[in-house]
Order: sequence, then structure tokens, then C-alpha cells
Amino acid sequence: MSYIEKRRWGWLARLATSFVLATAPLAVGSSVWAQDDAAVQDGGTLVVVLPGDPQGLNSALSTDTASSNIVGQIYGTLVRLDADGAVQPYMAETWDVSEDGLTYTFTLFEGVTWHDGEPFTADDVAWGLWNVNREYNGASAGLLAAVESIEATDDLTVVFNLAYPYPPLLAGLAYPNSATILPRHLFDNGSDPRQNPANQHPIGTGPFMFKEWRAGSHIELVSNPDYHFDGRPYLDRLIFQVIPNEAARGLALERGDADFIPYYSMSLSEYERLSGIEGIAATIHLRTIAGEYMAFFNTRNEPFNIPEVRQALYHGVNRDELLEKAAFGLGTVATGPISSAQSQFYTPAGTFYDYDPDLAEQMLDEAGFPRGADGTRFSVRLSYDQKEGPMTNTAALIRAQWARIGVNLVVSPMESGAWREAVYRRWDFDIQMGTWATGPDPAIGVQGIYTCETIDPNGGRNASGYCNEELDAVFFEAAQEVDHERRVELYADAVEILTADAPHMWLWDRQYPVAFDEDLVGLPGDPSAYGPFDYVGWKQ
Amino acid sequence: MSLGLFLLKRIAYATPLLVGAIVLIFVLVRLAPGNPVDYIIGEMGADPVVVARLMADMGLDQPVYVQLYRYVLQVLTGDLGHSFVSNAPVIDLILDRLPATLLLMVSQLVLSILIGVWLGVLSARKPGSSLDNAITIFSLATFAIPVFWLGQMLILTAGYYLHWFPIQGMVNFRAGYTGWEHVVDVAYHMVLPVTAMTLLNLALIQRLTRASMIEVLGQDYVKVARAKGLTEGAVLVRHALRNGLLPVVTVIGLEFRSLIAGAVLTETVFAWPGLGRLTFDAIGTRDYPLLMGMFIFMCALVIIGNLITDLLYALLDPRIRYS
Repeated sequence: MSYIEKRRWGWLARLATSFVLATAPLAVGSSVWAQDDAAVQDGGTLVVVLPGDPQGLNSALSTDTASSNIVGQIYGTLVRLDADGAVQPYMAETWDVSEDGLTYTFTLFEGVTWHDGEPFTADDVAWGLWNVNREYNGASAGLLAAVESIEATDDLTVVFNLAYPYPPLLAGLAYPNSATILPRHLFDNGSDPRQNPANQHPIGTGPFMFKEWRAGSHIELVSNPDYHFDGRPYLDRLIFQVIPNEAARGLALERGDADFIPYYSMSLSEYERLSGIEGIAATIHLRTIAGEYMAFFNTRNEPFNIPEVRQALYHGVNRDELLEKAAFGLGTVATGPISSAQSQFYTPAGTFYDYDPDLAEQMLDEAGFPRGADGTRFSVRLSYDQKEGPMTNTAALIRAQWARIGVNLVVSPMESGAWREAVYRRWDFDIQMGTWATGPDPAIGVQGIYTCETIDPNGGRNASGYCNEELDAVFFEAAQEVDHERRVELYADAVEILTADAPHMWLWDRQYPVAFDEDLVGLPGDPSAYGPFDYVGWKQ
Repeated sequence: MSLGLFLLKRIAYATPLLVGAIVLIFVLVRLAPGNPVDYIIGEMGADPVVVARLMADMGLDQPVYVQLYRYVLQVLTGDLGHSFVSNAPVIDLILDRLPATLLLMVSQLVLSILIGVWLGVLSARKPGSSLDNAITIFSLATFAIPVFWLGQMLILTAGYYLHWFPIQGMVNFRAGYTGWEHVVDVAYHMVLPVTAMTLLNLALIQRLTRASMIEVLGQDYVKVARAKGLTEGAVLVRHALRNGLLPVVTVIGLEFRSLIAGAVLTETVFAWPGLGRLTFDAIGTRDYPLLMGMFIFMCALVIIGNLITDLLYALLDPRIRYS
């Protein structure tokens, strides 16, 4: 954490450090994000690049990334994350977690109003999170699973009562895609919240107010004069411009038509080009969502039901080559199911599968799959969503690598909807790959693709069908454990079990490149990546 | 037969066609693998109870024929429903994007017809001349170039290196123009996408006009017109072109459907906020109500396009009557 970064968050940090749980600091490469605050212009316009229209402007209902980023400017959450991943006040000024971890009490900032002038109260928080977010948003239902009730005890106090301790709750409440706070006076009208007009014309409590949404073109926000952090935001206008053409995004940034390409609009190859251009800062945004590219074996199918075969195939993949050639070096070779970017929980535990084609061949021979007359042991299918950037090159590289160990890979790129159906509902695949979040907390990101109960074609995401009761016990204990050190140990145990059995091949831990105009300061380095732009401005 | 009766008859024919198209498309869309719930819950998954409720809310737990029956009833009341993904009313989503697409499509259609017919007449006048060859090479080249590549090259040259035109979108957001300045701003942003689409479409029109004009110019009545001592211009435009345009009108009428389908690439390359992109996204997310709404809309457009073609025939050729 740089000096300036520290100063920017200093006043927040002083307020909050005493309440913060489990904050082994994240290693944030924050130097580019941190700039001198004193030299920021008051006013100005920021144009942010969107890859397409957001699904809607209500993240209480949808978990779409780009929507969350926009909604995070308009609506508030109880808390927010700083560049170190530490929890900071946002709509709540202070909070207290009881010793037993079963009661969370939040005290809201006084005098906050919705953008339409109505007062913002604890009742909004309690009603919306319980009746909308929890009901309609899968991620939110997961986050609030341990919560038995949310009560507004007075206008400024909200109490969460938990059935069992759930430490990820506090940081989870900083994520707009699960914990956006809606105005009760607009949503509590007896009709379906998904068809509420406010989903297209949101009224929030955040630093920017909604002005217009021209579908397919742009969304315009203007600064909120009554924002409860004095003197913020710096910017007058914030525009999210839709640019579906990947190659044109960088050109628009270079021409000065656009100012900021967030990670969800950035293609890896474009990043490499923009890095060399004067006036543009290209850097990596660390995110606690900590995505990881991985391949699932379908452990129901021959021969992937045999652990030795999975291990052998894993040894046959040269992941350094994948990272370098398919991902332009943007990442690190994965060691297991928790990304190294998830530094509060990552440990280099478990079995590491280095590239060793000879060992792979020997293991396949021993497992009873010798090379046939044509030199081939067996044929397998590899499916992926063709929209997932680096997967096409990854598939081509694995195909070449496995040809060396006598395994014939049939590559099948699929249309997104068809891929989800085949992988999650029909389980019709041999190996499938893509990117999955491993954060912000392993209880949220990791657990859901490995436990037995998530082998379910109706919404379950354990596509590999791997079921291990010993592992389940570790995951369930870790999710409810209050002591952070103990949780880290438990997740290390989970990593040991998983890497030994190798139901997946963990390919590489993702990095999230961004690029922006060098005259821009204060872009949030917060690891939710959805944080408000109230500190963003142009240099004097 | 009067024009009014003719129109009524055509609309009567069109209605069962439209219903048939709705049923067919509805079934095809549901048969495609994938469903909107899996898209909405994302890669984190969700509790089966939540999934079941979402399916029930969208009516997806019912057999396809029940869904179809409900949908047809709903459409008959004039309600296209709400998008599964954005939750906005489908009709609003479509009408929001329609003006941008119409602006782009009508502009390029008018330009490519004017330029294409003009070039076609020019080359038919002296087939095999160097002018004809030059025009032929030009139109074959523009016809062969994929529009996304052409668009990308226009962006790079005229936009990025020469700074003549804006490269993306429909307006300058930073400036936020209003009134006449806004109109000029939009026109300025239209130059590159309209150029790309015009270059693509005029080739077909030029080739057709040329072929049909060459045939017409060889006919006796043209010789008569020339023998009467009419000017070359009058012979070409008033006598020959009027006849020669018939096949061209047919093809343009048939091309109506591709106005939207063909817009997908152009709109994507130039970030033009039109219907093409909307349809493409709806397919990716299996947004059934929006997809169906778009298909119904396109069917209606094709039917209207064919109607206009028929009317134009009669206008151009008095021998054709509404019968």
C-alpha cells in the first residue's frame, strides 16, 4: 500500500479499523491507482467502455458484471472495500459483530436521502435485502443463507441475526451484485420487482444519479449533490458507452473518445498493444473474485472415473505454454482450486502437476490404456463456451500437447447457451473448461463447484460429478468457522484432497487488465471491482 | 380491383402466414439447447428451489404447447411480454432501438439504390467499354469484401489515422449536443457505417440494373424511341429504365428482410445502437420473449416490404394490375 493510497483511505480507515475482521492485507499493486488527491479537478466527464448493454440496472436481481459496475455508482451497499480488500463504511457508518458471530449490528449514516429526496432508513435495508435480493438473486441467497432475519430496530440501526456464524457475510455485503440496497418506497408495491420501472430508471443513494439509458448506445449518470461523503464525487458526469467491437475499444481510448476500459471490456491482446502507448496507463486490477481458468473432468465417464488417468492427463498439460501463448502471460500457473490472487486464503498446499509427458505416458500405461496400433490410447471431447476469449487457443495447445502422449482430443467450441445446457444440465461432456471465480471467499466461490449437494442439474454447478464426503465435511466446517487462521488451515486441507484426486485441471489464475487515460486519478482499486467512482477525477 | 381491396386481400393472406411463422419459430427457439435460467443464475449456480421458482415464474415448467398457447393468447392482446433478462417490456426494447436501425438502413438503401442504378445505367450504355469494365471491377470488389472487414478498415483509415470521422456510436457524449447540432452530430457519426453498407449493397443493384438494361436496350421499342429522335437521356431514363427497373425492385423487396439481419455486423463494428445487436444478444442469453418479439417484428417487416414491392410494380408497369 503506497503512502498516497494510505492517505486517501486514511480517514475511512481510522473510523473502521477497529471493526474489521480477518484482514490479512491483500498484496495490491496499487501504485498506478494511487494519485495525489489535492491535484484533482472538481468536475469533468468520464467515459467508461461497456462491452454491451447491461441486463438491467438492478443488481439486487442480476449478477451481471457490467450492470454491477454501473449499479455500484447509483445504489449503495452497507459497506465497501478499500484497495486492500478491507471493509470500510459506505451506507453504514459503523458496525459491530457479536463475539459468537451470530449478530451483526449496522448503524447507518444520518441524513442520507434517496435521489428522489425520500429519506433513506434502516427499513429500506432490512426490507429490500430480505424480500428482493434474497428472493431473486442466486448469489444473494447464498450470501444470506446463514441469516435468519434482518431487522430495522430504529431508523438508523439494522440487525442481522444468523443461525450459525458466517464470516464471509461482512465483506460480501460490499458487493453490489448481491447486496445492493433498494428503496422500499418504490419496490414494496405488491408487484413483481423484476418488472419494476425502477430497473430502467434507478433511484439510489450512491454518488451518481441516473439520467438516461439509450439502449445499445450509452448510460449517462450525473453527480449526486447530496451525496453523504462531502465534496464527492469530483466528476459531473459519468457515461458508460457501449462498444461491442473489441478492437475499436482501444482505438476509442487512444483517440480520447473513451477514458477507461475496465477489465470486463478488455481483451487480452488489446492490453498488450495499449501497454506501449503514450498517455495511456495499462495495468492489472486485482480482484477478490479471483477468477481461475480450469477444466472439469466428467468423473461419471470412462476413463475419467479413474483418478490415475486424470492425474496423468494433468501431467500432460504444459500450463506455462498455455499461460504464455493463450493468455499473453496475464496470470500465474494455478496450483489448485484457490487462486493465488485470493491471498487471504491461498496457500501453495497440495499436489502440483508439473509438465511431464513421460510420466504421463507411464501412468496411462499402468492405468491400462496402452497406445493402440495407430499410436492412440483413447479419444476425448473438450467443450467450451466459444465466447470465452483465450479458450480457443488453449484447446488447440492442449490438443497438440496430448497428441504427444497418445491422447486424441476432439475440440468442440459451443454457443454459450448450448454449452451451459450440455455441461450443467445434461452432463454431456468429457472435459469442459472456462473461468470460475474462487472468491471473494472460498465459501462463496470455491465450495459451490466441488461439494456433493451441488451435483444437481437444476442450478448446481458441480459439473464434474465429483463427490467426496470427507471434502464436504472440511468445506462445511470452514464456511462456519469464525477464526480466520483455522479457516485458512481447513481450506489448505480441502486443497490437499482436491489436488490429490484431480477432478479438475486448474490451469492458470487470471489477471484482470485495465487501461485508462493517464490524466485520470483515483480509479477504485477495490477488489470487488464494482466500487463507486466517487474519488475519480481529472488531474488539474 | 381497387387498391383498397387489393391491400385487404394481401393482409388476409399475410395473417395465417404470420401465425404460422410464430408457431414455427416458437417451437424452433425452444428446441435449441440452453435456457434463460441457466444464463441468469450464472456460473456460481443457485439453489434448486430458486431455480424451480424462476422456471415457474417464466412459465418454463410447462409443456411447450401450453407455453405456446399462452404466448399466442398474450400476443393477441397486443402484449409481447417482458424480457427474461432485462425485465423491460419487449415492445419498449424494440421501439427504443428501431429509429437508429431505420436511420442507418433507409440512408444506405436510398444511397445504394441511387448510386447503384446510376452506375448500372452508365455501364449498360456501352457494354464492354473501359467505363463498364471499371464499374464492374469496382462493384465486384465491394461485393466481395466482408462488411466487418471493410468497416474495420474505414475505422482505421478515415477514423483513426486521418481523424476525419468519429469511429464509434451515434453521438458525441462528451459534447452532449442538442437541436440542430445534435442532428449534424448524428449525421457525422453516420458517415462511416453508411459508407460501409452502401458499398456492400450497391454492387448487387448495379449488376442487376446493368443486366436488365442491356436486355431492354436491345428491344424494338427502344429503337423506335431512338428513331423518333429522342435524346439519349430520355431514351435511357424514361423509356428503358422504367422497364429495366422491374427485376431490380423485386430484388430490393426481397432484400428487405436482410435490412435487420444484415445490420448485426455493421452495428457491432460501429457500435450503432440498433436492432441487429439487440437480436444477437437475445440469442446468446436465450431471452425467449425478446427473441419472439424480434421475429414477429421481422416477419411483419418482410410482409410490409413485399407489399410495397407489389405496389411499386404496378406503379412502374401499368400492365400489372391488382388481380
